[in-house]
Amino acid sequence: MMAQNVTIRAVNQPASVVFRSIVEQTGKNFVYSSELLENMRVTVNVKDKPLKQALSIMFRDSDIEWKIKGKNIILKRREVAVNRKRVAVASGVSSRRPETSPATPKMLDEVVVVSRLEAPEVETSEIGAKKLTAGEIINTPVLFGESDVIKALQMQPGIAEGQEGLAGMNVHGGNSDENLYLLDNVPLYQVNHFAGLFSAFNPEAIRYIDFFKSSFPAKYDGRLSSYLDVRMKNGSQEGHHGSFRLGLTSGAFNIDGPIGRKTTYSVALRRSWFDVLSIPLLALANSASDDEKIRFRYAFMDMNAKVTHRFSNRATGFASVYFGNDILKTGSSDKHRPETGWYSDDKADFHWGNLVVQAGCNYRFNPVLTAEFTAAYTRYFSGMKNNQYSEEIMTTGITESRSVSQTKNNINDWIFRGDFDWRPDDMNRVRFGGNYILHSFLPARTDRRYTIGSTQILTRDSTWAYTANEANLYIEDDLRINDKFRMNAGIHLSLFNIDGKNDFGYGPRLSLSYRPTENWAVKGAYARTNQYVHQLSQTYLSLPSDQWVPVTRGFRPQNADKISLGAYWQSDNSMFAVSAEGYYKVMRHLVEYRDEYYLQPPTDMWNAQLCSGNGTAKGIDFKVEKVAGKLTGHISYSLAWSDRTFPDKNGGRTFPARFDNRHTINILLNWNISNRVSLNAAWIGHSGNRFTFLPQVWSSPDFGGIYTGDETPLKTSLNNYQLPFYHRLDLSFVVRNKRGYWTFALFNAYCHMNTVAIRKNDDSVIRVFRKVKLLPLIPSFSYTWQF
Amino acid sequence: MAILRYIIILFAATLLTACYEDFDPKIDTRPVLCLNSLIVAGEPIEVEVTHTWMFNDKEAERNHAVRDATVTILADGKVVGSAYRPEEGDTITIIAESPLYGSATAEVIVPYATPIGKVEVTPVVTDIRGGDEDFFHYGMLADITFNLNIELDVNDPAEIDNYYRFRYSEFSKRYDYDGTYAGDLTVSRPECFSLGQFIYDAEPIFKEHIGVFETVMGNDWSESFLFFSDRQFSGRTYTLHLKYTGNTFRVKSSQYDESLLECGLILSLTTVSQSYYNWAVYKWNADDGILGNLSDIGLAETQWGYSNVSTGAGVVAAQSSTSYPVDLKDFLKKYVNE
Repeated sequence: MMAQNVTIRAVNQPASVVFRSIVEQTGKNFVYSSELLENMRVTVNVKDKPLKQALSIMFRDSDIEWKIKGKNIILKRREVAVNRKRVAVASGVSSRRPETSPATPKMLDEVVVVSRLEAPEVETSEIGAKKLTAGEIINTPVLFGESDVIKALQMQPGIAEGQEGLAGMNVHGGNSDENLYLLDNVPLYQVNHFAGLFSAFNPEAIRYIDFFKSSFPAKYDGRLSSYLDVRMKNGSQEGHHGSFRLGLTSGAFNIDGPIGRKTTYSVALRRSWFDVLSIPLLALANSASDDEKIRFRYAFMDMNAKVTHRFSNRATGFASVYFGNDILKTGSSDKHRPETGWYSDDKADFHWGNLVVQAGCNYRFNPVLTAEFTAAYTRYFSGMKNNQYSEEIMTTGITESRSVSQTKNNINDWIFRGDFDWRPDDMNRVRFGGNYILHSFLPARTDRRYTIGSTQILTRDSTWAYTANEANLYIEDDLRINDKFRMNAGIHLSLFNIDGKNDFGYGPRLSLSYRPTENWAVKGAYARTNQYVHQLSQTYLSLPSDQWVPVTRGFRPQNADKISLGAYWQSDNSMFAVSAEGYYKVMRHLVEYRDEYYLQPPTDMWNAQLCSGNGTAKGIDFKVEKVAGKLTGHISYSLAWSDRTFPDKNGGRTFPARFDNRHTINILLNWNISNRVSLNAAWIGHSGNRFTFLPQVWSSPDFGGIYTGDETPLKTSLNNYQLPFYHRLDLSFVVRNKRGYWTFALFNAYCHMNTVAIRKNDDSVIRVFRKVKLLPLIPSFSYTWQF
Repeated sequence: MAILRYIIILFAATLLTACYEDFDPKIDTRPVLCLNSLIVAGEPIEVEVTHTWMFNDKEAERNHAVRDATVTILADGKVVGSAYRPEEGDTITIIAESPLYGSATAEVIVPYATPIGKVEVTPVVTDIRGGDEDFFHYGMLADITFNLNIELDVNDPAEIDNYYRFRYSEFSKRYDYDGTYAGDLTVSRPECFSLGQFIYDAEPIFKEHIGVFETVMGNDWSESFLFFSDRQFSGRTYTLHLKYTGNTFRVKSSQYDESLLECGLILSLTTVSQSYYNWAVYKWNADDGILGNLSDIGLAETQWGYSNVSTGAGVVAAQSSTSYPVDLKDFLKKYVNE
């Protein structure tokens, strides 16, 4: 194998920072005890030199010895010997275990793995699993240069982005509410800011993410299509580090470090600037208007904070808080009160977000059994309030009228969980655990209050509140049968109690891997998943009007059966990886709005507008990946079908899902041109989204009154039209300097505006169909200052 | 207020701009028959037979009548002729057949008129002006501004889903500007009584079709939607709260005549077929609801028109009405200068 060269320029830099640079350049992983590098800083200045030479320079004045074994760089203190059987890999990061000497056993407290990738796909039995580090998320170019977990995942095969520019995720033909987003094991319901333009996960606060779309570990259940487990960053023990980023649309600040010898902290804040930018624009607009004053303010923020404390070599405690919030205030008022006539002042306030508070501990009972116990509270909230005030000013007096409408939608969950990891021998790794969740759902509470003069009318249109109890148990064994066969078998059992009924769900999981050679693996998997809550959304945007509702009477829990098959190859030097994954999924009891649901007034039970049906999805994902070197990235192609059949939709006929994108090609390239400059490019192309196109019209009836005249669109089959092929190139350049780095990004670099809808246009001279196209080239830049 | 436009400003600022491209979708479509009819108890049935057309077909937009269609009307399953007058409770089936556009069928039951129950009218005078003589030397008989609070009971029949439309109109003695009445009686304006503002918000049931989203987005201002259903009071009595503010009665006349005071309101309660109600709700959603706006730019599901015709084109509806006159004569008498 050819020696790999690296370029590093670091003066008294934290060792972990330099490691990441090496990881990115070589694709190798660092494996070491967390205590090994405490507060260690290194100085090294090499340009295109062999990796071994760089490592020798880095550690020449230390008592650390290093060894390159395969794709791992193993570090240890010269006098320390390690017993192979007693290595505990923390935080679920898997890697090859370090080679050890048979000397006196001494257990490591924690093994830190600095790696670019998860274990190679040929080594595991998982299908469709992906681990992304914060660096990889940041290196995916996106709209406004706002790095985004979900948009980074959209580049993976089998994931449809949904509506253009938004952080939507439709996995293997599923709906957008079929993905479970976990923040350190705790579910988040609201995962978007700004109608879905940005996801709620601040990349600066993320250590890594685990994403599963085909074979699901038994630990996960509750959604049909995918599981995204976001792990927050722990504070560094090596000193205080942080960064400050200023972009066009938002700014972010994060800092982490030690508090004493045993405690670390990590804090990350992000806030948008839209409201600051809109102030002068609004002031201009308002000064130009003699009559009306417009109000507008939008902002989002999120905050992650985590404290970790090591009580002993066996026990580590942690506490964390996440708070994300969007606010939107709009309205208008007349500028002047006339002497007689009307004066009006209208305001609308929206707010929505998520709060997660959790505390827990990791405990090692013995060298082979570890556990994590967590208690958490998560609250999803959205509220909308509209306040319309008017005065009729007459010579004889003023008649005031006020109309106040407000609605709330909340979910409060109390979560208690225990997760165990037991490694009885080299062959088995058993994970088991359980949790109890006390849900409190308030799908909608709406008040409307009218005051006209002295008359006041108060109505509460709807209040539905439910308490639900959910219990889950799971167990799985990751069994290495021999060098060629590996199996992961498990089951997830769930019980959901609501509204006087009990729903029981079982989710067997099985995945098998056969590895005929070091380079090849073929796998097969089956998984059943269950879902007890679903999201109702009348639009394709993520808005506070979206409601998370439980499966109550009249509806059955959703479930899905999925069969996956995969073949994987990786090159001898682990530089290249190729995979092909096929799947077939059957989804049952899906819940959607029925056709013409608006004919059921909202004062009826909220679920009167819904109907239940089934769906199928099938397809195959191909991926060629270069995982190491200066140029990394992947090319993927997906061939997919997804359809739905609902008795109360489309006349009971099967129809294609909205994001039934038959062909999808994704190309992602990360090129480290030099130590200072890197270029990232993402090209996405896919068959157009499905659209319900109504080309024919009929003459509206003349019943008198205002509901007459013009013409009316003729009913057709749902999602009967495929929009034109979608394609887009996003670019970003990262230029580093001593203090930080600049990021310059181009969204839609060749300015191909894609069609998102078709509308009819009648300007009385011509009547034409028009493609509605959004999102031209959008440049952006940001600067991140690191300290 | 349509808050939506401010949200669109937000999107426009963020997404920069949308652009449009005209195109011809070049898809095969087959026009079908469309039937429209409003059947009223006691009145002859008229059916408008047209055909659907591609939106961009300018010629078809101008001329889409179907002249060669055969229309058959059945009442309770029996074919009826042009002399037939439908009655409440009749099931009317309309079948149209055309050699070119195929056939279409629709069925509707003529609803029973729902009697109006108790009506309580409470006028409240808010302003009375004096009786100065004006330019024409007419004595000011009255210049009264008043509010009207009306409570109207809807006695909903049990065991049947009912849909209603409330309507009102004013009536007043009408005179010519320069005309005379009753000999030498001359008045200063053609109508003495003028109805003020109908306070739409005073009766929440008129907004039962409006969801939270529309309400908060400010799309609940369309005050002409006076349809409602009995979903919330099936088989019971529901009291409509009707409020009219700023009503005026002004008359200048050289002499008093009691007939000048003959004015008031006609309150109508029309029981409409479900198809009529659904059509109205659809139109509200398409024209006034926010989802219609969002679907136009691809951000919400496209909405097709409601139809109860087998081809999906047209609406065959039926209605029966009762009305109640509110006479303001006795109330006004107390305030008129004789």
